[in-house]
Amino acid sequence: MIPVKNLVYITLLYSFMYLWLHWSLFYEISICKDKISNSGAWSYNNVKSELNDIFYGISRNLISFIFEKTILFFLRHLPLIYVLILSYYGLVSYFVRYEYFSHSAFCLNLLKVLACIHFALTLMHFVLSIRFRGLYNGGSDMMMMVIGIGQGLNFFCLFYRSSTLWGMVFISVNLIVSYVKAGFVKSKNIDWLKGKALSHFMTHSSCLTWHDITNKFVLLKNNQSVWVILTYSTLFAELSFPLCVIDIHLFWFYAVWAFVFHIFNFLIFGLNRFFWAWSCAWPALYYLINLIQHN
Amino acid sequence: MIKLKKFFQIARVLIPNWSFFENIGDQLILQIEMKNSSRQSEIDFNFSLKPHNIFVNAQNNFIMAEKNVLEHFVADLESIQNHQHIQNLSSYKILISIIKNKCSIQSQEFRFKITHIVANTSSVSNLYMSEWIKR
Repeated sequence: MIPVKNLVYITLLYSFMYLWLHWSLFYEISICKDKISNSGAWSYNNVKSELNDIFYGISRNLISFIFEKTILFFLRHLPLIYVLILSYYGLVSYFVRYEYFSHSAFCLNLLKVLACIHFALTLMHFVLSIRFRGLYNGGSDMMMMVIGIGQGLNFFCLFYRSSTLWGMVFISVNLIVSYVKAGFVKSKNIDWLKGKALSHFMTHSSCLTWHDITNKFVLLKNNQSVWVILTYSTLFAELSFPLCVIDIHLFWFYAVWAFVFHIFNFLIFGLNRFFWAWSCAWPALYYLINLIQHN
Repeated sequence: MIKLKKFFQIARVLIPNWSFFENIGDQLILQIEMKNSSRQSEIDFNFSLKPHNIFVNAQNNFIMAEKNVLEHFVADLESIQNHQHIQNLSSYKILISIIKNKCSIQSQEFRFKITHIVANTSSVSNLYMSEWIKR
């Protein structure tokens, strides 16, 4: 059984990682806040009629209030808000170091406020996704939401003195399913099995960096067998991903593979948020393996 | 207070769907034409990366989101039966705003065209041509 003190530390560490995910998301949007202002492509006027079709009564007024006033106010004051949140995180970490959570009502109250901040951030992320008509940055938003919900469960487990952080298990299961399902849907497609899909995605990427790389490496550009090898190694790693929970050595093997995989996703497609969202989910898997080994 | 079916479409962040790059998608090209000139210009959704973009990649993520709007608009086109209501679609409105923001429109009126290149056969077809739109 993992000691309660360690569970508090793990939850705190996860809170910091979740805060980083949030900060980077909101910071990116705040840099381009002109795009969601009235003259921007994502102005509220452009999405208003669609939202009015979904929400009515009080919920419509609430949505309208949030999107017309609150979000822009939040983005304008983002640095101050994050300095305050980060200071609070620091305060919690400092006190939790000296007063073990299980023996201190003071630390319990600190953690409760932290859980409230966490809930507010998750809610803000959800609202922002609605503002972007579902998703701002595709699957990375989904993984971020999984981490948000999982971390919420972690707080719940701490307050109810559970010996297991079920939120970590929830995040791990989603992480495993994400790789396996991605591999499974690819393996059903004939273009993937022939090795054509990967070369298509890479050569049609909007990211210009990759065109430079392919021009330099003519071997990769024209050699179909290289694409077939790359395709099958990707499919194998994705489909066999659940093996990583069997043994810690396999875990590290897959961790290295995933790091390289997500770095290449960034270089080829520019998907930086995928890199961070999946990186933040990985420690949960490490927790799950330790949990399995301890039991 | 909330229409649930439509709500879950817009709240799909809550229901993870881990399917990425499963199909070779057809390529969509967005072109605009000014009323006083017959020349068509293509709207560029390409971007370049720098190492620091691993941390913050705001402009490029918005370019990808803009490209997604084009795909959403085409999906909306296929799903609606009455094309007279196209102008009420959010994807249409956003697409017009993207065009206005990305291009310096000198003419009083412009229109846009979406061309569709089928991935496996490379055959080209015109998918949609808008009415003339005031600047």
